[in-house]
Amino acid sequence: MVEVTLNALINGFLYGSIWGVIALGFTLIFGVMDFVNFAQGFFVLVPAYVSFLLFTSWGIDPYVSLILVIPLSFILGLLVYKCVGARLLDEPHSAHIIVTLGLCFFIENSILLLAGGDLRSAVTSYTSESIRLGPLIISYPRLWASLIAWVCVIGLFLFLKHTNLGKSMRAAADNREGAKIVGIYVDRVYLIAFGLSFMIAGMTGAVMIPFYLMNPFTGMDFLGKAFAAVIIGGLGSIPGAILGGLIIGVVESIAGVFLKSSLGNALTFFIVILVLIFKPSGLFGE
Amino acid sequence: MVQHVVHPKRQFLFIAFGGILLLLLPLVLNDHLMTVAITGFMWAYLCVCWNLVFGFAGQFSLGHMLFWGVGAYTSTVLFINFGITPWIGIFVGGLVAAGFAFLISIIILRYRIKGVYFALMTLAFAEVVLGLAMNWDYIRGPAGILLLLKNSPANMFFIERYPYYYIMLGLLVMGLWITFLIKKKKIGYYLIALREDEEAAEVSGVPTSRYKILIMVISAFMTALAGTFYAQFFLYISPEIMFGFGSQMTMLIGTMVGGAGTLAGPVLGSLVFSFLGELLRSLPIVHSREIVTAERMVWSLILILVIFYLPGGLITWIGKIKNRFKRSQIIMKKEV
Repeated sequence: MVEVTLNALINGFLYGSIWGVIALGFTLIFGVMDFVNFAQGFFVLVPAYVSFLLFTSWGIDPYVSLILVIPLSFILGLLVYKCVGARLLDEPHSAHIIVTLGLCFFIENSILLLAGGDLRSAVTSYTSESIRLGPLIISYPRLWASLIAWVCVIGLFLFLKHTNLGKSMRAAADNREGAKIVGIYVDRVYLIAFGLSFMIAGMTGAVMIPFYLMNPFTGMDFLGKAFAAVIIGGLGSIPGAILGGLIIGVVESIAGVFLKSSLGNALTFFIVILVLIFKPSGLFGE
Repeated sequence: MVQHVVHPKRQFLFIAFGGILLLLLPLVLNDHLMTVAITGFMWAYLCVCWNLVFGFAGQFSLGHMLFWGVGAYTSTVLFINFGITPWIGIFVGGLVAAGFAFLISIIILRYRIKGVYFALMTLAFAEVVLGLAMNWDYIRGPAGILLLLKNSPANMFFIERYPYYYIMLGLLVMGLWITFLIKKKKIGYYLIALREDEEAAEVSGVPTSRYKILIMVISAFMTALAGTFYAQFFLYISPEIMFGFGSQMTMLIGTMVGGAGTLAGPVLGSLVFSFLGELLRSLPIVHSREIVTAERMVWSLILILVIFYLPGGLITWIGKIKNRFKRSQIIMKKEV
């Protein structure tokens, strides 16, 4: 039992880092420009499908396809900002949610039309490989996915702390008017933030495709995970998103061992309700 | 200054004419078109219910599927396990859903949950109930409940479609009537004040909390009635259908495209979509699964475009056309 629990914990941690990094994209946009992006889940899904397509048609390894997927999702982010995001900045949150939900619905059904509703996953040579450490079994592709997730987190952290662009992003997040006054091109900063958020999401999608079964409706699940993680950690807080993701991953994994695995989702949202009631700013929010 | 007020007599005639037309409609429709009309009315009614909460009170609920599902499951479980007729079950379901709405509203008010958190909170409640329903064997979990087709009017099952048509039409008229009353009475002004500026409303003496709870409870009760109707008409319910996000999305699209916060907007929006969907389906080009998908793509595109370019919804077009018509009348009168 101890072994099973330990394995579940490790698995939960690996999945948790992935949910955390999806939530990171969500929270970055919210924190920087106060934009609620309900389409985040689908910007994990679209690059995952691209990566899957590259794998099945030309046999390009999903990790190699990152070279293509990363710039692609960045450009996708810029496009979505130009077409949708920029128009909505001054609108209330409900308008953000409605329009991005419309976008969700559109992408979900486009994928359904183009690729069908089957569950898909890129079955590579290493999909079922794992590392054994005594009683512990660590799945190889999951480990890689979570490592890449952590690289993203650290990279984003360093970017925000030490580069000029990152600093101006934080300034724009703090005070939009003030940032404009000191000469920051706020619009451009927002554009980059959107691109970055989508780039992170796309990267996650591509590294998940070797082991995670996806169909067009999985995007909604990703969205649910992202938003639960963000609420638990605190809307707009970057460490909060990661922590929230880890909590969700571990809770669902442990629930799978001791309860039914399908109860995991209900449990996650129950935690969301509790957090909203007792600490609406999240565990890491101010 | 020429004032144009629609003459009450003329308005009454117009409504009476429309009503008779709707009452006689089953005579000319075939079975398929009857189903389309009934489904269309059901979505229109759901949009009307959601519009009360979002359109009038400005409370952005994303968890209305919870009330819909609770209504359907309550009446169905009462019928299957206890033999209680859905004619009673429909109201029990409504009351249970109203109880849920009351509880959720109390929690939301007690802990001052607002704005985007309100939406996420209602959504989270619905997700929790979905997860529990999936794992509750008493209501047969993810397999759902299949009802048998039989003719027993005492239990709200009919072989013919026209009784369903009249029940749904009755519900829709009731929903519109309630919306009309709310709009006319004090509560409507209170709700709109609440939507526009909550603090200002509170300062001016509007008991905002009480009215927030009230509108949520009314809307939940009404939504649950449609849930029971769904179970009785389609004879199959499952957690995915009843508690999934799909129905909420339909309510949202219909209401926003038609025009939130108006009387006829939600009905207009959802009927436009029913009509568009039927039109797409009658094209003999691709098979039906693809049509459903394409239809939804069109819906979501229209939703986005309407939000961007026509924020008041399609109903504003009708207003404009009416105005233009009136203006031309005025001009004509002047020329004479």
